[in-house]
Amino acid sequence: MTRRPMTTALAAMVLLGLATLTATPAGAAGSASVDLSGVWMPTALGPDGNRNRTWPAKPPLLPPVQMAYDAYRVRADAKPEEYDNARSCLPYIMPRPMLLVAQYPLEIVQTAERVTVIFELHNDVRRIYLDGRSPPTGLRPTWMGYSVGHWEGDTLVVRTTSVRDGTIDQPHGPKLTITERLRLIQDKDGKTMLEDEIAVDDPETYSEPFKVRNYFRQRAGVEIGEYFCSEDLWQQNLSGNTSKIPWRNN
Amino acid sequence: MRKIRLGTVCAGLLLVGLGLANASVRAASPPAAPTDFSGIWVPVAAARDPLAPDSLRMTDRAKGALAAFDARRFDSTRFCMPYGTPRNTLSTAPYPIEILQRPERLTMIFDRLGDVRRIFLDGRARPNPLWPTWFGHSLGRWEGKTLVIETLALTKESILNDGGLPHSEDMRMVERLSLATRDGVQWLSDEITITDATTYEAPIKVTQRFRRVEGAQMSEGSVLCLVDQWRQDLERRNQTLVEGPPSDAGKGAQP
Repeated sequence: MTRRPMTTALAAMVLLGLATLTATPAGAAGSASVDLSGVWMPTALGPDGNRNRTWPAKPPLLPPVQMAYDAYRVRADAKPEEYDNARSCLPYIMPRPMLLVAQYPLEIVQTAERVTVIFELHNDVRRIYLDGRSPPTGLRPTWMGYSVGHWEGDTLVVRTTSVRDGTIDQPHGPKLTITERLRLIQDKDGKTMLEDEIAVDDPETYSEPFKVRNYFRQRAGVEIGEYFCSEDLWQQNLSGNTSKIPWRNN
Repeated sequence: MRKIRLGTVCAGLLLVGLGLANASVRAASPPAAPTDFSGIWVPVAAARDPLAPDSLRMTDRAKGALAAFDARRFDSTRFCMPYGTPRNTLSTAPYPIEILQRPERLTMIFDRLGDVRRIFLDGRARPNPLWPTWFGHSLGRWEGKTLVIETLALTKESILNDGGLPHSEDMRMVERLSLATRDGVQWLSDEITITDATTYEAPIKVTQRFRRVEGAQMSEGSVLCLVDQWRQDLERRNQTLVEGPPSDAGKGAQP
């Protein structure tokens, strides 16, 4: 157990080393004609009012991946608390945080050369660089991946790579590329929605690229709340119940 | 407990020469603010600790709370919970803070546990009722080039510093943010006044200074802490993941 912090330390420093090697000059920033900023609530209903699936019922998994996934699925469904990272208080892994339809909003903070997405769930932060840089090579994969974007008219196009492995419902490998097209649309009643079209391309996992979509609405007066997954543990601790707290129980 | 602490400490080391942070990120819509605080900043410790307990005039109640402080039990960060405000802002440990500025909002993201402070500049009123939270409710206004921020409703579950200085939920925090350039380096000064009469007989005044860092990269916030916590939990249950999702967490570079 005492080894663990060193492992983490090494991981951090390796990233430091690699990142230093790969600085990329920034190009000129494109100027945005659209402002996506605000608090957005995901909705399961698309602009036509029909239910929107955020993941294919049968994603085109390559046969070997499908076999491994099916076996994994049996174990994971039996004990989701051990296999679903989110149930262990770990953050979601891209593209899952963008595909949630639960009641957790996300917030977009748009500045000239950056779009920052702050998720209420887990307090996660996703940074999308619009300054023309290329993604660094050799990065240690992360939960949010590394995102660069540019504007195509009124659409923000974001390319995300270096996503770490390990999403229970959405398997992928190191070659995963997620391309998102974020834009404001009108629903059938003329109300504004945010659409995120997400193209998933991973030749080592899927036989062909595919696209999914999620939709978001803005609600007046809704602000991001404070969500910390460890809150439960913390409150148990404050109330004197330490039975579930690993480092206080041994 | 050192485990989690060390894990998060490492997050700060991610401060590296990645991509050319720009000193001139403008807010996306008008009107322009008199000062642009956008960018990545690292706190610089003062020669003397302004929060040394013997330099503070504490009430008897506060002295009792400090004497009873047990970090294992009352330090939220040991549970991967946030530092909370003002501890996140007062910390002089060299972990970066990212500021995103728009005309209607200033957002501060703290590297270590991913604390997010939102400072509303749009002239809104305080909600009623105002529930205590980890980052409180912050309203800001411009006085010339200085941004004056008043924060209320900070949970008493948070502490002011690693040493466990207590505060009540009646605490009021006023900050004056300004920029200065010396020897080609940009500094952010945060003059903090903490008023909390049931805890401190006199207001606490601290000037926190931050140095702008070009080409810095923020880490993944609370992730390292959470991964450590998750591993400890697995270990407690005598389980390890043979394969499947987060099994490679923290194992290092996988280019």
